[in-house]
Amino acid sequence: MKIGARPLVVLHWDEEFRERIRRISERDYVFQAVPDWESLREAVRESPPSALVVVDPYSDTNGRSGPSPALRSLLVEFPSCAVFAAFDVTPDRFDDLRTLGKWGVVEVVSLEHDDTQLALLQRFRQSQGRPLRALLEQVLPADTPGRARAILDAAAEVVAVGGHGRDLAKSLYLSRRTLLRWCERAELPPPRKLLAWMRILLAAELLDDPGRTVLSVAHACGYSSDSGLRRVTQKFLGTSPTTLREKGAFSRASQAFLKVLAKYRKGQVIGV
Amino acid sequence: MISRNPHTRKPRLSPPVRRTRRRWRVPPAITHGDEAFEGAAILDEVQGRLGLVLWQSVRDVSLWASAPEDRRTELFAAGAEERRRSFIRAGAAEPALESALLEVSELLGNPHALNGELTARACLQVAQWADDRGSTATALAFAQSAAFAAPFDAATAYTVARLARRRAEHARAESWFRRTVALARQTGDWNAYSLAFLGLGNLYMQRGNYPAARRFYVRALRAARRHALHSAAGMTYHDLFVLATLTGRVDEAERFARGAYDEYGSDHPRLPALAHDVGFFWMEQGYHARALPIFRALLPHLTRSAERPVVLANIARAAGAVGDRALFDDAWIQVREGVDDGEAREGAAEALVELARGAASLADWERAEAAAARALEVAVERGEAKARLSAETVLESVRGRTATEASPAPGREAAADEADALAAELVRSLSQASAAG
Repeated sequence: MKIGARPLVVLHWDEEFRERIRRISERDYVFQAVPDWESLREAVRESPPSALVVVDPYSDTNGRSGPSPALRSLLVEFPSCAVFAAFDVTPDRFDDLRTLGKWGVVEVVSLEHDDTQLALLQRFRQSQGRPLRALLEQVLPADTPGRARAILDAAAEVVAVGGHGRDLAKSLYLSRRTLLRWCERAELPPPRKLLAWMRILLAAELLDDPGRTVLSVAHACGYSSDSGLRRVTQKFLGTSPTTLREKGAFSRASQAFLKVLAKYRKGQVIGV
Repeated sequence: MISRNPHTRKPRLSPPVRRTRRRWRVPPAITHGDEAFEGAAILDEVQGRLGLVLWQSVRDVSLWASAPEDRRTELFAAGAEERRRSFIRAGAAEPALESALLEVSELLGNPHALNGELTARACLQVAQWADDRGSTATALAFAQSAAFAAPFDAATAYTVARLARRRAEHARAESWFRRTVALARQTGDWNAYSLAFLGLGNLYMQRGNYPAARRFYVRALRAARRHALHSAAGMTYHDLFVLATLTGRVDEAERFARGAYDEYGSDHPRLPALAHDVGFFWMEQGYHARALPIFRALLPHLTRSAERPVVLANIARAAGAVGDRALFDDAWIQVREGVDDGEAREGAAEALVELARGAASLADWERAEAAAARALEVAVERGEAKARLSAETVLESVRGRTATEASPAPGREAAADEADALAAELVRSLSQASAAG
């Protein structure tokens, strides 16, 4: 499975701001400016899970006050998508800010304040894998140790950008051997297996997006066709992506993952 | 992500036995709760212009702390500082809060104006302000920003851990406690080291994992005693005492209670809490005469209105058990005044259960039944399962006209002298402290 460069899709009226994003995206992202919400929807549908979307939430509000309903539709259709809202944050927009949080916007960029190139880069990095992390947070049992959660958190970040075991070790400032030891102590599967599960969870998260087809999920996850994705879901979850989607993909995948974690915690799986 | 610790081990005078130089890794901490984006929980707690300033300030600090030091001048847009300062001044915040926020705003214009320590101090001031007004999510967000600004300060990491635990964000709290342990070991902050183990012990106790909790307490105690940290040692003994009472180890509990008292000394702020816990423990064991003077000595130390009915109810129960009807009646009236104002308050159900027990000991069955029935109502209304179970048990005993108090277990006479001596010392210390004002 291979995930390509991260798309950075922008829908914003401010040309200067767009240009700033284009400049910072040269190294790590593939920049794409879109003219309207419909084009943005199409771009998101085909994009991998590592994609970032930057929007002006007030774009095309058609005279209504508050953020655009088109943004809400986008987030309903693609809840796994990492959307940044970039606008001028003023006191009269206090309620809008809270509304955007409820809709599922992962980060806010305050124009004329923290919209510099460095600030944007930092914010993009920090939001890596946030939708998956939030979903994981909801399903992990309350007694999951803090160390295990920290590793899972980092693993979610790493798989969202198509990373591997060495990237996970790097993100935790550990050697690969130390990471292996940490996983054992935290009663987690070894890093490779853990990342494989994270990819399954990521695919399941995308399958729950009403706006995506199974083929587009397979493409988004780096498979050339849906048969690759099917093989993996069969191996890990014993079911096909279509069946998985019908029964709530993330919920079923996370239940299976929790069973595996429970086995490790009970010591039923020994060694690596 | 908090950056790695650049501290390296000092060179040894003799060659190391091991060929590898093992470095300590500081476990990464969990830095987010269930909020949508960074600082979103602040917007729920503090409304309007002030909420917006707090939200922006906390984000500014974490952004500043996450950027490479030599590039921080590129972080914020030109004129951001002036705009923020005028915004803060227009917000009419309290003076202490305003000065802390203005200090943080200096980072926007000149990112090198403050170092990490000063920034952390300003953030902790805001966290304190938020905590005082019960805005715990805001307090946690600012404490965490302080920890980002001073990433090697164990005490700040410990503050974050405690706030997270208070918000019942247990995984986040655990990750910060573990981080505190690692940082404290590196920087030699043994107080934070010991307290972090204590915090981990409390977390595991809340989860019901008593063996793990005990292991952490023992580590906290070792560190506290090794470095002569009496307050931390006292707190650890205190928690070990609570753990021993929960696991039914009576002898051990009394030994830990003595240890806690010796380490606290006579004027420690936690002494009233210890005295209450020890008094209650003895009362549960059937030693009401020993417990009663402790509860009476505690009364002048109670500062929170919610605590007073609880202690008065304990007095009523102990007085009933030793047959002091006058004292029981006096306590009964005061407790009923405190809890019978139509509102089901926290601790009211437990207080009423104690009253029922005291009345039952005096064979005043009518009052006992009334108190137990009211306790049951309150417990049901508040959804307090433990209090409900106690109320039902006492109500059943009262209706069956049977005793609600346990008799002291046989074979513990040898320990009685030591326990009586501890009780006398606790009463003396509490009386001296209240006399001193």
